[in-house]
Amino acid sequence: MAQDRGFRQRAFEVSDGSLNTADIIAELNLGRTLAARILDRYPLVQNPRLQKYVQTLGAGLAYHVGRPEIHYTFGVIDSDEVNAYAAPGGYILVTRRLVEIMQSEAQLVGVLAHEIAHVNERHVMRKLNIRGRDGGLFSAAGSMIGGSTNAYRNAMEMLVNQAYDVLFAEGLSQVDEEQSDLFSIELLLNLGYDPRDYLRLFQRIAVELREKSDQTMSKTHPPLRNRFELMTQFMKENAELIEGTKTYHQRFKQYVRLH
Amino acid sequence: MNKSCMKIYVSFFILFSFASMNSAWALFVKGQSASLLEEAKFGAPTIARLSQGDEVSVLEENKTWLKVSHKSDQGWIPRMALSEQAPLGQAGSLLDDAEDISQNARKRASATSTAGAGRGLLAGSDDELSKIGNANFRALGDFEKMRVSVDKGARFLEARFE
Repeated sequence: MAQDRGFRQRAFEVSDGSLNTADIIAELNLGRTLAARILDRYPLVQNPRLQKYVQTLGAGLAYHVGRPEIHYTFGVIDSDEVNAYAAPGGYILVTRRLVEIMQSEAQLVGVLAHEIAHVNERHVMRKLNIRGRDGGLFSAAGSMIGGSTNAYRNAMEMLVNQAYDVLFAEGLSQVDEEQSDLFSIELLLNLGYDPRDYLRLFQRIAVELREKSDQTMSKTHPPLRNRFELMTQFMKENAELIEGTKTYHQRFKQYVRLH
Repeated sequence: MNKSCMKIYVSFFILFSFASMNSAWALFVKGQSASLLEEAKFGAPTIARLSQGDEVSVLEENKTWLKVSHKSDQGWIPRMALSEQAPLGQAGSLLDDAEDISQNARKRASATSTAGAGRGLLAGSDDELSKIGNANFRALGDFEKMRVSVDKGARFLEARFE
């Protein structure tokens, strides 16, 4: 038992550690600036009904599993990429093309849940080793309390560049992606959405990636087959929870009309 | 770390990161509220509604669920709805507090080091940050205006069953 507890303690230290106010403010500021940069390149799709649907659905998920110190913000950006992005601080953006190949609310919820997991576990912040207090890269920003705004802006610009590369070029670690995949399956199950339908989306993504070799998801995420197998195994181990879950495809079609 | 080791790590991380075999391990409600259910399954009758930050004691685990006690109630709750760390604050309040401090010299003089670090990160403001290349803060502002409350979102999720 003691050994179990020790492992779990370590898991928590990796998971959310002991964040303080400065850590969270650093996260919120980096996230806002990163989201502003993404939106400069990929504007939001001009479809208020779609945007409100995604935002409201995401807020519903945040109600259940969101970090209380964060206002999660969800939207669809005008991009031909099949992908979704989670900026620190809860800014979650799904591409138009990914929404186009979705068929149900369960699939959309699965994607949003995956991105929420990245935010909740602060994957980008941890990859870049950003803390709001002494020792982190933001210590330079902290020093501008005396008035040197250039130092703050320069530090922020460097970090935003790095975070942008994580989302659009390098990707997160395989462990982070797998953790987020399992989180999404678990949330789907807990909310009554059919996780098998989420896996159908993965099959559609695989077709998309085969047909379009320039998709960045191939570079930023582990192979789809590995992720598919991991989630399938998790569902087998929780098979009794799948009974009664639904795809809610009709409500999805009611709100999502992109053509 | 090879692939199989990573999978084991991830599985354990997910399965155990919010639970302990030790009894009476304290966790906190992470979301706005959470239902304490009679059984470890979605749709089971609700025993009680817990609020954000409520402390519960873990009694038992069953895959993705935990049996917990809260005051005189005992019931099941999804593990992912709980966190080991009590909430630090409500969304928005942290930035609001930091802004207040940055705009008030008297408060600034007496601010704690933690708040000071926060102020330092915030002091650039959107005007300052907008000088960062290729960052569209006007579009960000429009995006943030689209937010809806988590309560409204929760009602929308519930509306599936009506």
